[in-house]
This record gives sequence, C-alpha cells and structure tokens, in this order.
Amino acid sequence: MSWMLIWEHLYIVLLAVLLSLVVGLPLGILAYLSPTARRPILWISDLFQTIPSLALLGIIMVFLGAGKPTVVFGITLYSLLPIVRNTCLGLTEVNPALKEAARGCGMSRGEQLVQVELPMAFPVILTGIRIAIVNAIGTAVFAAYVGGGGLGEVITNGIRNKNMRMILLPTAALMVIAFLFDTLMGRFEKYLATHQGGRKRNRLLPAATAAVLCVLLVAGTLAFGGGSGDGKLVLYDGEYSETQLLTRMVKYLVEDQTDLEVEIKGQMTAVNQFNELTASNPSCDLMVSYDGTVLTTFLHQDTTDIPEGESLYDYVNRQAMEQYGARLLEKLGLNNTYAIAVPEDIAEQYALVTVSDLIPVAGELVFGAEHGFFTQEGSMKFGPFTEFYGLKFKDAVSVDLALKYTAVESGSFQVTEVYTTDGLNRKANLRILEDDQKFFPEYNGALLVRDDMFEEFRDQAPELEEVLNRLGSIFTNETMTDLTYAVDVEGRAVEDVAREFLAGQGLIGA
Amino acid sequence: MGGWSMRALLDTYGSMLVKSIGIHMVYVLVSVAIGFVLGLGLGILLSRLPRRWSTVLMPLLSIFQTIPGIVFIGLLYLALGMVPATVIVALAVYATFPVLKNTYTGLQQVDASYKEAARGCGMSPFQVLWKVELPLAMPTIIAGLRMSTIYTVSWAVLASMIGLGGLGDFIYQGVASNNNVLIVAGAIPAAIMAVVLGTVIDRLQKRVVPRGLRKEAGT
Repeated sequence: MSWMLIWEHLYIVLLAVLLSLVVGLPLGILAYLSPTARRPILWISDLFQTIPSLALLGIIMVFLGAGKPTVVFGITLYSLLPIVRNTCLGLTEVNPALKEAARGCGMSRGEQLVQVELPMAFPVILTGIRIAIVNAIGTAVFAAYVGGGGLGEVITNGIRNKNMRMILLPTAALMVIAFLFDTLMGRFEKYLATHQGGRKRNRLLPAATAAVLCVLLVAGTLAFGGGSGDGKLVLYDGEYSETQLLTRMVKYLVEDQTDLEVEIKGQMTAVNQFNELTASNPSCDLMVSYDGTVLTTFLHQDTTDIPEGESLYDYVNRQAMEQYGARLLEKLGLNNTYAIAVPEDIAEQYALVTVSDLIPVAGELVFGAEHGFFTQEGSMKFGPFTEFYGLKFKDAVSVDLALKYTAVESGSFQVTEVYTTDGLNRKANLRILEDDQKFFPEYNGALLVRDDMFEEFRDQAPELEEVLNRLGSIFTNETMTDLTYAVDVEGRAVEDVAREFLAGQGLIGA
Repeated sequence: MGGWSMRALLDTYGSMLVKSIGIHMVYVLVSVAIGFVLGLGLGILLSRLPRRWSTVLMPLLSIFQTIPGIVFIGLLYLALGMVPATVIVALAVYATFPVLKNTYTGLQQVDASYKEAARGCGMSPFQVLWKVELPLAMPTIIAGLRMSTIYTVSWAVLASMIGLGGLGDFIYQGVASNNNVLIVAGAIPAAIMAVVLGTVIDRLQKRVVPRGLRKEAGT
C-alpha cells in the first residue's frame, strides 16, 4: 500500500516536471533569443513562485476540480522558473568563441542552437530540472489538501492522530527520494561536464534514463490516470475514518453480494465529491454523506427552510432529487452531528453539561476549531453559532483539522467543535455538551446516490439498491465511535475494521 | 465563488485582511532576519573548515530542506505549542538554507589571487574575510537572501495551520469551502509582499556590489 503511495507521489512529480519541461524549454530558448521577451517571461515565471503553494493549488482546484490534474498543473507552474531560468542562463553562458566558430562553419541560426548551444548549455539546464524535481517532491505533499493523493495524505493523517510513525515514515521516504534524485542527477551533470564533446560520449546513459522515465509515466497513467472505471461502481475515499470505513463497507458488501466491481478513488472533500457526483459527466456513483450536510453544504439551505411537519431527511431527499437527480438511501442509524466539546477537567471545573452552561464563563475560555468552521458562508458555522447562544469567547483560533485534537489536549484552547462519533473524542477525554437549544440540525449518515446509477448497473447488480440498504440502521453513534476509535486510536487498518464489522453483522462471509 | 463582489469581501473580511497582512509580514521579517544571520554565520564557518566538511554537510543540508513544512511545523508544534515561536523557528530554519548555501558558494568563488594579494598587504585572516572576501561574495549572498525571503512569504502560510493567523487563514478557509475569492484574497497580498520584498533586495544587491565590479556585474 505504501509503495503504491510513494509511486503515486513520484508519478505526480515526474509528470509535472515533464510538462513544465515541454513548456519551459521553448520559453527559456525564446527568452535567450529575444531580449525583449526575456524580462516578461522571467518575471511571470518568477511570479508563480511567489504564490503560496496551497493557494495556487486551491485556485486551480476551483477550475479543474479536486484530484490529480489540479496537483500536476500546479506543480508544473511551480517548476517553470528553475527550468526557464536555467535554460536561458545556460545558453547565455556558452563560450562566445564557440558560437562564433559555429557561425564560421556556416551553420544557420537554428543549427547553431540545436547542434552547439543547447548541448553546451545542457548541464546548466539539467541543474534547473534537478532543482525543479527536488522542489516538486516537497510541494506535492500539498496534494493531500486537494484530493491528489500521494504521501501527503499519510502525513496529514499521521499529524491528526499524533502517530509519529505515520508522520516520519513518509517524510523519510520523501527525503530518500529527493536524495536519490539529487545525487543521481548530480552524478549525471558531472559526467556530462567531464565528457563534454569527448569522442567516447556514452549515449546509453541518457537513452536509458529517458526509457525508464517513459515506462514510469506510462505505467503511472495506467494506474492513476482517470480511466473512470467503466462498468465499475466508483466512489471517492473520505477524508476521515468514519467516511473511510463506510466507503470500504460499501465496497466489500457490494462485491460480496453482486457481480459489480467497486473502485475507491483518492481522498476528496465532501463538497468536491458532491460536485463530481452531480456533474454532467459524473466521475463517481455514490458517496457517504449526511442529511444535514446535504441541506447546508450542498443545497445551501437552512433548517428554517424545511416546511413544518416534514423531516430534515425527507426534505433533503426531495430537494436533492429535484435539483440534482440524487437521493439518499436509508439512514445508516448514526447521527454524526456537530457537537461542542470541552476537556473533562474543564467541564468539571466549570460544571458544564449543556452548551448554555458556557454562556456565563465563555469570557474565560478560548474556542478553537478547523478553518472550515470559521468561514462566513453556511449556517453551521462559528459566527451563527455564537450569536445563537449569545456566547462571547475570550478568543477564537482556527487550526488545521489535523491538529485540532492535539491542540485541545495541549490546552491551546478549551472549547472546540467536534463530530459526535469521532473516536478521538474518547481518546482526548472530551465531554460533549448537550445542544440544549437545538442549534445544530441532525446529521443522519446515509449514502447519497445518483438516481440513474441503478439503471446503469442493472445487468451486473439488479438488486443493488436493496444490497446497499442492508447498511441501513445497523449503526448507532456508540458503534461508530467504537469503530473510529479502533482506527484512529488503536491504529488498526481501516480495511480490517470495516470487514470485521460487516462479517460480525452477518452481511458478508467472514 | 457565490458571486462575491470585492466590496462584500472587504466588508466582511476587510479588517481581518489588514491584520493578517501585518502578522504575515512580521513572521516573514523576523524569521528571515534570524535565518540570514544564522546562514551567514554558518556559511562563513563552513568556508573556514576543511573542504571535506562541506562535501558531507552540503548534501545533508539540502536534503533536510526537503522535509515538508507541514511535517516540520507539525512536529515543532507538538514540542513548543501554539506560540509564535513555533512558526518563527520553523521559518527561520528554512530561511537559513539558501543564505548558507550562497554564502559558502560565494566565498568559495572568490578568486584566490585576491586573497593572496590581501594577505600580501599584511591583512589578518579576519581582515581578508571582512574587507575582501565578504564584499566580493556579497552579491551571491544577497541572492540567497532574496530566495529565502520569497520562499518564506510563501511558507508563512503554514502559520495558520497551527492557529497563528497570517494570510494563510484566508487560503485555508478558501480551500476548505471551495471559495476562490477567499484564496485570492490571501494569495494576492502574499504575492505582492514577495514581489515588493524581492525588489527591495534587488536594489540592495546593486548597492552591495563593490564599486570596481559594478560594470562587470551589469552584463
């Protein structure tokens, strides 16, 4: 598994650097040939480097959607500068006497460039490529934030669970990869520098390198490139243990009970999964979701929009079907709503049982949560929440989701927002305060499916809906917390926990 | 994207933006200053040691540089907690590398004949370093400083990963909610900051080139 991730990481890096070579080399040559073009070209490629990597990837993501294309495109832009700059520099530094000689031999401008200047400048260009690759290996870690896969996923998960092994192992892998590339290419540069123009110029080495690269890229494209699983049921992996567990349960159940094959693609945020699911050319067939998420995050509505007498679940189902042709299957039985939690000792100290108990003491406490909880859009957010309860906290800080539990455990803040069924609540010894004035709606877990997928898979799995609905009502918040605890705290593999649970329920053969 | 106008953005986030730019700037300036001093000092030290030190240390350092910022800040956070020092230390360490590397390279590239001449004039080793080598290496050193600064502006985004604000708040929130306007609101000030600081350093670089070399360097 982890070899696959290393390999995926490398694939992203190599593809991006190759693309930026295809674009950067001509640009560098142009910058060398035309002094007027030089300034703008260097300036623009310089500018890309000044945009923070996370921002650049985020912006591209809005246009290209989450996934590998976004990461590859972003890293391509990042890699441009060293390649363009070094191409231009290398060409400029070619000994003028040699250029003169080439001209004297009657070579045309093009011949001079291809036969003399470029070969002479090659070592410097190679240095540019080397810098680009080593940088790209590090930047590709951000792929985790935009659903691009690679080692960044393991690292962010490791930080979230304070699992040193999961942080350090991939980091070490990155360093080793970077070191290998750096050394190998350094050797290659030296080799070229010393054999420049020599008679015994070995053509085998460059050819072998090129061949290996080609094989890597082609194999990578086959392994990771879209190939939007025809005839397969496709879903994206979730970003936290609960969705990851449910995603795998869907896979095991469907593959055990029907002839359909299920493909789980790389991690993706819920919003992006929904966009993919409801796109005109959808790249997935179903996703794990919650009725409250569909209402607030996808439909951009509020609990006040629900007509009197209709349940949240029914309303959401109707709206999603009308607007997007998607609907929820049966409720899974868990209600993973937002909850406000405080460490047990703070709860004791201030005698906190309900959220309202916070009102008189909020001025002494700091609230902290992930960045997503502080955005101004949507109603299940910090602003509306504090206004609703009339809470005035001493301070409010936003941290990376991965660091939230570490931060609350270390006392960086005392009040936080959590998912009810998160196993880490138990580990961090957090007390969940009762939402006594009912600010947060229900978040009933359910599978969200494209309605037309059942038609699509009728041949392979005529009873697909019925099979999927066997997951209905088999969970409670307690059982789900046990499962996520097993993954996040005990460090057990998601696959094993999911399979065991299904087998225990008698839904699949053990 | 939700049809956000610039005005709505400024109304909602205006004061937060100004504050974030200030915080971001402070992180950058403080950590680059520390990184510059460290890099310069270590670079000089390394250039005085026998060559085999640098053949071992240099590749090690450049590998160290590939540790992703997320990991480094994450681990430092576990050790130091949610205090500005965590960010400053991390950024300063990253800012040290380019300066160190360029200081060392710059000093190595000083023509041996100049050093010889200086020694011949009766200069002490310290005087040779201070009056001849460093001035000659200064353009290269400043180029390292420039690289450090531009990278640090970008790396400082990670401060908001551990709740310490800066322009990263906008970028993280934007990525979390798929809101390009927010991401751009964080990215543009960061890019401008990088360009402005880069230009200032370019000016500085022109000034530190020893007078006798200016024409040569102007090509």
